[in-house]
Amino acid sequence: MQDIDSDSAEPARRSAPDAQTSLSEFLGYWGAQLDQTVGSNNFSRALNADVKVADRPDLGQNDGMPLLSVLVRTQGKRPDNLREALTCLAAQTCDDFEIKLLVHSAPERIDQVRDLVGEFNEDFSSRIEVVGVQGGQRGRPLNVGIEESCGELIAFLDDDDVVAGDWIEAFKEAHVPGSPQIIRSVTVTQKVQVPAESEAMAAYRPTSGLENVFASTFDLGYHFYTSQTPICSVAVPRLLIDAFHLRFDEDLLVTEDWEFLIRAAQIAGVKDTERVTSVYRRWVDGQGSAGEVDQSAWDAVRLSILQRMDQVPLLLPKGSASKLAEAGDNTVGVQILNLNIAYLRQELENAQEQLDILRAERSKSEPRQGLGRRLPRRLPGYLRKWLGGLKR
Amino acid sequence: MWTDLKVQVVLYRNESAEIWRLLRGLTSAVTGASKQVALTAGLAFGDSSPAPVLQPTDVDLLRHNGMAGGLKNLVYEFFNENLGSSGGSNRLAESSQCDLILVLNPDAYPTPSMLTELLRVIQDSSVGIAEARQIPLEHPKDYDPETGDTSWASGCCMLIRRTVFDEVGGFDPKHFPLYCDDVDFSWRVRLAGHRVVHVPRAAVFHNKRITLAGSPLPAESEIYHGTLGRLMLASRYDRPDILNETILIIEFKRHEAQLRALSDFRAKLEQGAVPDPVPNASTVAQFIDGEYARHRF
Repeated sequence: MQDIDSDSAEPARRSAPDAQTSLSEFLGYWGAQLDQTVGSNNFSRALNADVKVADRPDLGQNDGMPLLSVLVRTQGKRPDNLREALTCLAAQTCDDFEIKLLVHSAPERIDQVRDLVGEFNEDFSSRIEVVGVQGGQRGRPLNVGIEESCGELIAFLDDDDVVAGDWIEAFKEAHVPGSPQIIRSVTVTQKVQVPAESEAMAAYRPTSGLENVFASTFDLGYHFYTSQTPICSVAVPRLLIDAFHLRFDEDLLVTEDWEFLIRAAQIAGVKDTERVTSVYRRWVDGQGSAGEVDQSAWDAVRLSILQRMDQVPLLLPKGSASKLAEAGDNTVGVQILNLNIAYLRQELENAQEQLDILRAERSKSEPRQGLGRRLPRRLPGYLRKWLGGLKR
Repeated sequence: MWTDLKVQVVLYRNESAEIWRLLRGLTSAVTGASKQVALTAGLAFGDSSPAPVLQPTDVDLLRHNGMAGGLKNLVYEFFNENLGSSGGSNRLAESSQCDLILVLNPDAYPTPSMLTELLRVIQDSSVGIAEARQIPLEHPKDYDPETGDTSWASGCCMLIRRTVFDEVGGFDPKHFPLYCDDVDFSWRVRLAGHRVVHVPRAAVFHNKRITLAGSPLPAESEIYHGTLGRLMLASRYDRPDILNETILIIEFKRHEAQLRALSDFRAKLEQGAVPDPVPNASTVAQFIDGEYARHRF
């Protein structure tokens, strides 16, 4: 790909200052996000692994650093869940990773978290750094984790989710060193709840099996409608994060992962492993993040994100034209279907009205002559035919 | 409190990395439990593989670099024959005395608190088996949310009183070499008057792959042995209706491995190698929707 470097472009090729095309707006926006050491609009250089795009002394050419950093987010409120999440990480088939255990807004529980880490074998616990984080919403600990970590890929895990033994192996096998492409595996969900006090056997209790509700492959266009990618599904290359200073929005109450992914996916694209490697827990009794925020707040956050996205042109991947057209067809199809449904409803109401009339007339003393001869003319044709066919 | 624990792991073509992972998880679990009780724990590997998965140098490395905390000794025995999980567990149990036996899968990784929680429950003298909860794929079988009582315990991870193990004669490899051996064992333990208890707080990671349908990816042998096991269970636990129903389904579906299992079962029937019904089977045996317990989900 030819470098797009506005500093070296011929004057004739530059856009007029007041000609705001989608392309110039897009390039202008993302160019401003680029790390300035590579020059504005130099996307190719920014995404070149050989170029040090950030002044990070511990980032180099795979000089003993782990392949992957796992950012585990916790508030220390669910130690049993956290222990299980860490056990899943300890049992990984690939151990080329470090863990940043981010204890958010819970300084009083940091020691307990450290004690919990200390329960594990030293081979594993020595790879975990417990980091206290204050302030901000759910995105804040993730940003701190990004700053503190050094892996080539960054993956995320909340303390109430669990992963299969090949979670990291799947990311590693799909990742091409030096590629900015986001790696995505499949996450299934499971409903869980806090048991009643009398049911002291368990700290939590699943109420469903594993349900496959998220798409196996990533569709950026569809993600504008709804997220299909829990945060534990993806590993994001540090190359991409550093090149564009990608960070989570620390002011968002919820859906910080959705907003981050849509921004990042436009630039680098997503590569699917199509392997199920993680389980996202849905708390049915309001214990999870879904329960902390009511629906109106969710809707408001979503709306604000979309409005913010509306300020910048979007970049969609190859194949999007057909998908958008199909979505349009589906939209029109749904509209037509709704019209048909409305028509049929009206017809049924008419038929009901006529049947009521029939019943009223039958209650009178006139001799029965068969329904077919007494059908009011206003009945729909199909109903007249059906009733007329009834045996007298 | 119990002092002598023997951890038994039957190997079959397992990779060295998996064995090391197991050992790391186990040492954490034993170390954690040792802080609560005076515990001496030994680890015994029994190898049913066609060729040894561990060489003497590997065993030495495991002993010297892998043992920690309360885990005091490690033995490795190459069986030189495939005894299956049930026969392997029985063979390992023969070789030493102990108070408790922990049967553990080689692809398991205990949480640090697993053993502590199992020991806490098995303190109750009425409990014959205490079973760990598997993650990330929890088994859906039902258990009493207040007492933990359940129909059967999974051989992935179960803590057994040695006296109970001996009382019922251990596992039954003749009729249940692989799969359903744990169901049969659990039901015989319950017939002997002991409880089988599921301990949700005792979590163990079990390295199973998840399919897109959200179910575990079945092992090759599971279909054959699972079918044969079901036929054997129906025979021992006096359910001719389940036997007939299972045969009808097998003959209808015509799955190759299931048909093979049915053929082998019929051959064993002719040879008198199918278990006779046991008394009071209906007090413990559950055959519900193709499973051996009611499922929560």
